[in-house]
Amino acid sequence: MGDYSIDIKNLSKTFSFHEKETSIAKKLASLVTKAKKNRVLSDINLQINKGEVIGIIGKNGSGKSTLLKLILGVIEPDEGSSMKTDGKILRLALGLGFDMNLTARDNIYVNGAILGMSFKTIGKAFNDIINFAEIENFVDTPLKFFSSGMRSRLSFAIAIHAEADIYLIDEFFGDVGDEIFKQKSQKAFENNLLSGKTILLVSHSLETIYELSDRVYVLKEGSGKMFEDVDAAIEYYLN
Amino acid sequence: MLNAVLKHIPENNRFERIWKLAQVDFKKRYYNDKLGLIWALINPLSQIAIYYFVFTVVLEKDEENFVPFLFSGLIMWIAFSEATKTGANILTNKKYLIENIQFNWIDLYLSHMTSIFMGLMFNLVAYFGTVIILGVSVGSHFLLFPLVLLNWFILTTAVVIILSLLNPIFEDIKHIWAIVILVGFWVSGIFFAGSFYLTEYEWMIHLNPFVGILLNTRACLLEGNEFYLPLFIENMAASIGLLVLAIFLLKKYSKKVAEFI
Repeated sequence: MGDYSIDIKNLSKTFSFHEKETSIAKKLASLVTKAKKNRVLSDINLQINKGEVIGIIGKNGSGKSTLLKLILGVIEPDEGSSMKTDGKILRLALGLGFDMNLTARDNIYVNGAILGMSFKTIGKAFNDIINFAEIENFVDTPLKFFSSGMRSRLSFAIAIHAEADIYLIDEFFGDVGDEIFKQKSQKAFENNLLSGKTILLVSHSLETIYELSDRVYVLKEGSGKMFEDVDAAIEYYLN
Repeated sequence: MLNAVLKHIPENNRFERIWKLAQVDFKKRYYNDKLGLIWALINPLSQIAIYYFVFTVVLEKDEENFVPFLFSGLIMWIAFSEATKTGANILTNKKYLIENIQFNWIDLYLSHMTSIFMGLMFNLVAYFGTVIILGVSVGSHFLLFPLVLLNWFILTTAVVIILSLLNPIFEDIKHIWAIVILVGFWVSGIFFAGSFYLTEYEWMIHLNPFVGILLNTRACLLEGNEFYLPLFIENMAASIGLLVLAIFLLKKYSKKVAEFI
């Protein structure tokens, strides 16, 4: 692996599927007929160094989510693809596994455990999480009584305590609350996660990509191109 | 008390995650209900009342200790039925985990089965309360009950894994399984004693491992019932075989199945 955190060569992904049939006869026929194929990613080559922040941009349907799933190992690439990763990978998405019927306290433990934190670590970070999310008076209130802003703040506060070597961050700053909290979040994100960790940052917010990325990978209709210059990447993406 | 025990177990995130997911699943099942956990008890008790009425009053079946007989069979079957029906959807329900973190899918099944097992334990406590009130003794093979429970756990886990892998690809499986559960309810020995199967339908014992599990459950939980050791060995071997097959399928096809979730 050398200094690469992620090393991808000739990675392609084709999905096989049957059309959703409505008649019983067609449904039964689909059991034996050949599936249709859709190539979502084609010959992706991507080498990411340890500690780098790579912005990934592309229109909806360009293959961003599929690429993240492949890196995480949820699905398998096509034959002939090569992918090596070094270290524990975590995809950070806000509100992972939140249960509206459970209290904030319960959700912190569940969410923290899902994000790879031990109960001991969660216990140590508990007060920080509560304070950061500004929900000191609602620790034992079920989440269904929280405003969407409170839920987003709590979710963010837990996520920045997650422990991994490679983070796949998908629209993380989309809805974390008002402008003041957004600035606070960005600062916490930079302090907690931008410290030597490898990050793949997927976002439609070009402002976020511009501010945080070392390099930018642009996906267009399943093919990708890496840009050292963030401005050039954004220009290529917009055109 | 359990939390006190857990505090002394070395820190292990995998174990903690399995336990927390199981705990939350168990809590969620009764969280919004006014009577909470009491429903876990009302379900088998109401079924016992109905079947007791049908069999003893309507059909005039005269069997000694029919209430604990029914109770012991029903709680094992209800737990199996609930585990497999809800377990079939486990991959869809836990999509947020599968798509976001790297972990062994076995953990999903372990947390699901732990949650179901907690409900079963709750019902077993109620069962022991009932036999004490009725003045009935537990079976002479009571100490073998953990082995029967282990057999139940292995068999149920294997079925849950296989169903959950099939469900995202072939959604009709849940309807087929509902029929299997309905048929199984009447042919797995919830209502009939071991002698009935051994004399009339011995082939069914070998075809349906649940018959043996229920026969041996009663040998452990209710006085006057025989423990069928060869049947236990046969069932255990079949259950382990099924679990090995289920894990093989899981390893081989999990990433393919993930595309359909």
